[in-house]
Amino acid sequence: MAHFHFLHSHMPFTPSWTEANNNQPILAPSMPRWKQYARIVLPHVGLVLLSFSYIVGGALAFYKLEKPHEESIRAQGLKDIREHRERLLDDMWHYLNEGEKSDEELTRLAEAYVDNVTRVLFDAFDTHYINADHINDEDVEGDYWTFITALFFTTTLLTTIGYGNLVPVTWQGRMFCIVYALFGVPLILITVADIGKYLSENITWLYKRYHSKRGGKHEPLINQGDEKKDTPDDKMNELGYVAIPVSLIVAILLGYICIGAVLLSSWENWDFFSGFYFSFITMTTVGFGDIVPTNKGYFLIDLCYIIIGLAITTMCIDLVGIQYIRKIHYFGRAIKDARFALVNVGGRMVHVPDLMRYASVLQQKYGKKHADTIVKGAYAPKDIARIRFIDYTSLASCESIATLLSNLCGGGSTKYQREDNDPEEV
Amino acid sequence: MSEETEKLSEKKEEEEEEDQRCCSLSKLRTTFIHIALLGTSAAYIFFGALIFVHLERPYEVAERERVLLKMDTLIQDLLTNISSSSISEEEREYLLDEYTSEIFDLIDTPHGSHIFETHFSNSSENKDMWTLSSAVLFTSTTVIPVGYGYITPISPVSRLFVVVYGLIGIPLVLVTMADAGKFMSNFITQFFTTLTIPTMIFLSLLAIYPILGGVFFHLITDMTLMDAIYFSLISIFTIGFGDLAPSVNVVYLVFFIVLGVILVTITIDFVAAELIDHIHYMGRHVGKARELASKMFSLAQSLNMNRGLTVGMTQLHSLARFGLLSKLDENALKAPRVHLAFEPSLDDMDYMDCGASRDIRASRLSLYNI
Repeated sequence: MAHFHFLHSHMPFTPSWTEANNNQPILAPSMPRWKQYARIVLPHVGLVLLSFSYIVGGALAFYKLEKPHEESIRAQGLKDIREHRERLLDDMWHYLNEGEKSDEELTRLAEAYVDNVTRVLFDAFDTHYINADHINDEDVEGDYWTFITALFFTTTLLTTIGYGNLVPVTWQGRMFCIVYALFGVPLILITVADIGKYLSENITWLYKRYHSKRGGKHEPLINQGDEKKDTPDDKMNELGYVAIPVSLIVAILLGYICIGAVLLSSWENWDFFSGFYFSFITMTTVGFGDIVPTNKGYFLIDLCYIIIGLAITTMCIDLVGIQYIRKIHYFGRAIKDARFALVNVGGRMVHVPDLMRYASVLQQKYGKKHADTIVKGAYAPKDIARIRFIDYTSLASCESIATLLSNLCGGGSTKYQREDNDPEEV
Repeated sequence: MSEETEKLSEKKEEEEEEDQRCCSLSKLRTTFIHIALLGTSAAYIFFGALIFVHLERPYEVAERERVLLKMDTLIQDLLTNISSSSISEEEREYLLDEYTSEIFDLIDTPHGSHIFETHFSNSSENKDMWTLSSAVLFTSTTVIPVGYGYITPISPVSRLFVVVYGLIGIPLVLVTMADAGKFMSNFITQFFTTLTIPTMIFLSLLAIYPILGGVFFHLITDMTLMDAIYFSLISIFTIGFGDLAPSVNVVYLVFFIVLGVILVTITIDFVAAELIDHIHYMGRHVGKARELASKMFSLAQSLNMNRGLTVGMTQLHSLARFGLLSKLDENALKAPRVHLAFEPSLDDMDYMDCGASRDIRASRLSLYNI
């Protein structure tokens, strides 16, 4: 919404321009305000709802697929442990009572038994479905796959965090996981990026307001942050693009992580640093899974924290990362790349660099060269500095355009050259 | 007139020469920065691995000794107690229960489980967790960020270091991979005029790649084909559960992941970036066009506020054209635009020369007349 207002607020000359342009409205035909907002909001809400239902549906599917397997695995594991234990106890009792074996032999046997038991314990642990509670008390409610944990699993799967503390192990589960991730990862990526974009727009807007307030500048700041990617030419920067400092972005990210660290450590019994570490590993979607939240009552809050955090990370990348990627990519070959880019204008192919040159010529001629000229008078509009005098500059523009166009058309088209040079002969 | 053209052609030649010089220079510069980026990332991963080994190794050694000692004492205690004839069966059961829970506590730490695993699964008893190759896998999967979590730092110092390391490394590698991805996508797209075919190519590549990787892992390790495909997909989507660990050379694995992640990035860039923009501007019916219009408008404002209506409007029109050109491509021009906020008349889309020079001439004449 901020974006919407923002554009309005920086188009102070809209009405006059509209009139000049044969009453062509700059805004689309007006409709009820709620309808406008609904049209803006609906796609986003729809996307979020779709993602939400995809996550919930996936969680149900994984729960249905993995739960029976978990139960059978656990039953098997516990049975193994119990059998080995019984055998150890029985046999030892037997041997000891019989008294036929020598002490040495007994020790050897006992060692073998204990080793066996330990191995079975480790195997049970290795299935990830059995912990100490299950062994001590068989009726304990310690299912790994519950609906909430499945929800946690699908969210961390689709956000590509992948802690790996809970994974599908059945054949069907893994197959489903592949298909589910193949469609779900882009979906969630788009959703998160959408939220992130919304955030980044708001941040840009807020920062610009702050910036213009502090700097006291009244220049129209039109360029959106993400628009810049289309213009590798740094000259466009002067037109009011305000780069958000990296430090601010990093501060936002770290601040969010710190908040998360405080919250998580309060209900997970972690120290602050563990919470910080966990948040960082999560927000960057590394997801080692060495520290994972275990308090199931707070899983939903954890999930919200993770999703919002990822949106913030995306925002940060949107605001800073993209700039750098483009900068590096275009470093040294801004022109070279564009040289081969042709655009079709009214059936004619035009080189992009020529257009860029045209833009820069225009800017040099009419740019901010005289921006500080102050005209004193009875009434001075605040934009007076921008006003050019008709006399010389417009002539210069003719020449420059003539030169430019003859360059642009090359030697091939004499028709244009003649036309272009016409003004000189006047 | 002829002098003018001569001058112009001379100028042009000079420009061309300069362009060529610039071209070779910038080519060098371009190549250098890309190679430097790649080199920095590789060095970052490698030296990071060295530092992590240095930080974690003493901790690991100490921890292993502690766990092994604990295990030994536990087993010895149990043995002596259980084989003594003086205790009852209940006591023995109790002892065994104690032993079980103690062992579980021991296994439940990363080092403990690793020690147990190496202890039981194969004979090589003192297999280290933090070797150079495993550390390289760790650092590369941290910055990519797959994050298998096969091995993770335990000591507080190295955990702090992970945070710092990731904070710098993740953007660095992201930029590097995006850069490499741009190269790949440019390479593919240069053969086609539309974006449909490259998108299809990347989508099919994305579909084939995990299967190829799966076959590769299946052939050189003892994974089943299904598991290997599952592992490939979980890896290249940077999910990285870490539940499966193919025993392949780290270099191959990292190479596989990097290539796969780049592929995914490109595909998402192709498919999703458009989609995100679409969704984002969906409903804001004017969307990009409005932004474009406002941008152009402001440009026009700052350029010629009051330079006569004719010239001003011509400028505005040509600016509109320029804005459209730099922003929109062929398809966008052809596409029906119903909700455009600002619609420059496209029917007389032309170079500004014909119209402009006439207008300018007219304005100049009128000026002289004044």
